[in-house]
Amino acid sequence: MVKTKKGKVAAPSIAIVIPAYNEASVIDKVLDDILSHTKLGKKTKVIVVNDGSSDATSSRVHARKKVICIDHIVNMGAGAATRTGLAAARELGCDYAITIDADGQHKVSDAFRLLKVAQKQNVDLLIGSRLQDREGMPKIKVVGNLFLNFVSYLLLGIVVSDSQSGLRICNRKALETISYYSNGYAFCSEMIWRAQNAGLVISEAPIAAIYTTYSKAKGQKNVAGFFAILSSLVKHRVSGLLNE
Amino acid sequence: MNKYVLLFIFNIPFVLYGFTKTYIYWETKRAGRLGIFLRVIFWLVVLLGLIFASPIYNFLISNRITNSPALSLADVVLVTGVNFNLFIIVRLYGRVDKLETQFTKLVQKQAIEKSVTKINQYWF
Repeated sequence: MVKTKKGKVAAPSIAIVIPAYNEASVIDKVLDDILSHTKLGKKTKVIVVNDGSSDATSSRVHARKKVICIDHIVNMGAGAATRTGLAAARELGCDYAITIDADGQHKVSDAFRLLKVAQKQNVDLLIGSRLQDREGMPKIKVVGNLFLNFVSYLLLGIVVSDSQSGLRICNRKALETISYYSNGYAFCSEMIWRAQNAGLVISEAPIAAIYTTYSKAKGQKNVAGFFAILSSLVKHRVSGLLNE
Repeated sequence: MNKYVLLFIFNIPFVLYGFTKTYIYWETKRAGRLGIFLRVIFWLVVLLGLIFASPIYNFLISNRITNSPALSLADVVLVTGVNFNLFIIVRLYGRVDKLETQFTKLVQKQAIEKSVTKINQYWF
C-alpha cells in the first residue's frame, strides 16, 4: 500500500493471472466474468498466459484490449504458465497476484473475497481451499486431492487442506521470494513447499468449486497425472535434500 | 591377478570422480552441509564396499546368507559395465534437467518480452 500526497492509502495494484491451455470455448466467459466484476479496480491487470494452445485461445484473448496475453511458443505445462504469469505480475510491480483457473472452475467473487482476507490478515500466500466446503465436488476429485495432500505431506512436509487448488493470492513478498521449478501440476505442491521454506505466511480460506462437464474433463488424467506429479515431487525433494 | 583387486581397479575411478564432484560442490557452495554429508556417506559406502568386497562375500557365505559362486572375471566386467551405465545415466539426467530449466526460462523471458508492447500501450 502506498500513501498518496494527501495521506490516503492508495489502492494496491493487482494482477489476475490466468494460465490457459486450449480454453477457447470458455475463456471468453471467464474473462467477461472478471472484467465485469464490480470489484475490478483501475489498477487491476488481467494477464492470460496462453500455454502454447493449438485452438483459438490466443486469438480470442488478443482480441480483448484490456487483457494482457502472454504466449508461450510451445506448451510448457500449468506450472510454467503460472510461473510466467507471476513473473509478469512481479515485473509490472503489482502488489498482489491472484491465480485463477481458465476453465471457469473458480468464482470471481471468491477471488476478490480471498484478496480481502489476504490483505486483512497480512498473509503472503493464501490458498483457496475447495475441500473445506466440498459441496459440488465429485467424489473422485475429493479422494484424489486428499491423497495428493497426503503425498505432499509425506514428501514435502506441507500441511494444507487443498494442496492442488489453482486459486491463490500472492502478495509482493511472495512474488519476489517464491521460486519453484515444476512445469507440470506438481507446481501446486512445490509452490507451497518453497513458500514454507522461505518462511512466508501461508493460510487457507474456503472457496466454492464449480464443476461443469467441461471442467471435469479438463485437468489431469487421474492415474497418469498422479504419477507425473509424484515423480516430479520426488525429484524436487531429493534434489532439495542433496542441495541443502 | 586377484579378481577383487581387478574389481577395485576398474571401479575406483567412479568413486574418485564422486569424491571430486562432492569437493567441487562444497567449494562452490552448490550444496549445503546436508547435501555434502549425504554425498560423502554414499561414496564412502561404495569405497568400503569395493575395498572389503572379499571379506563381505566370505562373511555372507560363512553365515549362509548367500550361496552365490565367488566373483568371476565376467562378474567384474558386468559390474563395471553396470556402474559405467549408471554413471552415464545420472550425468545425462542432470544435463537434461538443466537444459529443461534453461529452456523454460528462455520461453518465459521471450513470452514476457513479446507482450511488453501491449502492456506499455495500455498501462503506461
